[in-house]
Amino acid sequence: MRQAQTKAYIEFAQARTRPLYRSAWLLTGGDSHLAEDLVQETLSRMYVVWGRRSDKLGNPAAYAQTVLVRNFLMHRRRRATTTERLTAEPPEYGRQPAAGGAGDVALRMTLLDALTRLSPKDRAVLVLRYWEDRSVEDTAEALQASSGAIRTRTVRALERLRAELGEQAADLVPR
Amino acid sequence: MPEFEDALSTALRQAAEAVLPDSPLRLVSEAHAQGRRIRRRRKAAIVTTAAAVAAAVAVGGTVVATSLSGGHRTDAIAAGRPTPPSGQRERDARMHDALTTLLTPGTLTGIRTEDSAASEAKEGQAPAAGVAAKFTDSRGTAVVSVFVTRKPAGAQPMGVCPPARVGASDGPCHVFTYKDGRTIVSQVVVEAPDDWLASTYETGDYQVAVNQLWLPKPGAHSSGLPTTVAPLTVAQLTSIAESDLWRTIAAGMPVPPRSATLPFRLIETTPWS
Repeated sequence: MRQAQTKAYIEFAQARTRPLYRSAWLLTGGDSHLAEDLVQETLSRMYVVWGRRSDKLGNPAAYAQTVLVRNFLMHRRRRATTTERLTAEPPEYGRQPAAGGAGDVALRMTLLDALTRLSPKDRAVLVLRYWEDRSVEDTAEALQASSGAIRTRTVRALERLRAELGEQAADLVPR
Repeated sequence: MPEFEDALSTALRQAAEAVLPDSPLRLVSEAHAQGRRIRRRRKAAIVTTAAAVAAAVAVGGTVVATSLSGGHRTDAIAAGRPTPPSGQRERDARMHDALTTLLTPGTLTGIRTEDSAASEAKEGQAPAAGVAAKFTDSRGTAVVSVFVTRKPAGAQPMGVCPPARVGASDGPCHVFTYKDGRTIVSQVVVEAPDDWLASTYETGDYQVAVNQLWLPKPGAHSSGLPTTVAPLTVAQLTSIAESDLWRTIAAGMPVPPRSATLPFRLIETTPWS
């Protein structure tokens, strides 16, 4: 890769690390170590396609987010067929946000806990639709599914999340 | 439900907006290093493939030399065929015409030929002639390249898939062998998206490798990933590779010695991208 391309890649990676990490953090239910692994893998894949296709990626930031979600789903599939273990304890949440009081922390834990109980695909749909604000069509493209399938999955995932949250669903937004 | 959707959106933002990785710079640095390792492995895999091809050709030559009965093997190319092209200029013209004839309907631009029939023979490599062009049809644009390589006398078709490349997304590879030994090896080399498809046709006398490197439209994909596939399918590439037009071109090349190797060849897309 030429020096200018490498420089452009580094700038891109530095700019996208935080947004990618936040998405990965939500997708993994707050597992900071797995989130970092996913981000690293995503950025390394971006490096591989960068020199050859940086001018043809269209929107590299959106491409990277899509690669991240697909990596996540692939990782979950691999774990499901190999070594995934159920534990009573939540994953290690790693570094917590600097700001926020006890109420915010409780909210995060509640939400992450509920998200973790959803299937990986349900989580991916909710993160793409409600964290990344993607349209149904964009979400369908990212997950390689039809728009109809994404609409159906979104409705069901919302119902499941609501059920998981129970009475705490009403506390999602501070009044 | 819309209220809950709004609340969820807000809550996700509140939960994640202040989250930071432990060391963003380390993540970037490690991703960069990992990306470089993947690239190096890909290059190494390509070199390994070329070496495997060369080795198999050499082995094939030996097997044929000992197994054919009484030296009755006939050269299917030379016998009863039209007068083959002898010079490089004529070969270039034939390569150009063949590609133009076979890639229809569609538009070809920037046709470029590469001929190494004379120079590579001196370096121990089998002589080859290449042609590449930017091809556009209703489905999109790609760089299509064809390499015709004359094989050493007595070599056999290999008919093996290249070794899987570490860190790359090699798609399924299919090998088809005709009763007379001719082989077709077809593969989607890079799957997601389908941007590198290849088909290699091989007889005992020559090999035709057809590659397609897709050039998706910049900005054509709203979320970054293309929704379509490359303009030509693997079946179309195979059909091009099997054309008799290449056989007459191969017949005009000098037959290399048995020790000659068949290197992996791919025309860079840079001039067209």
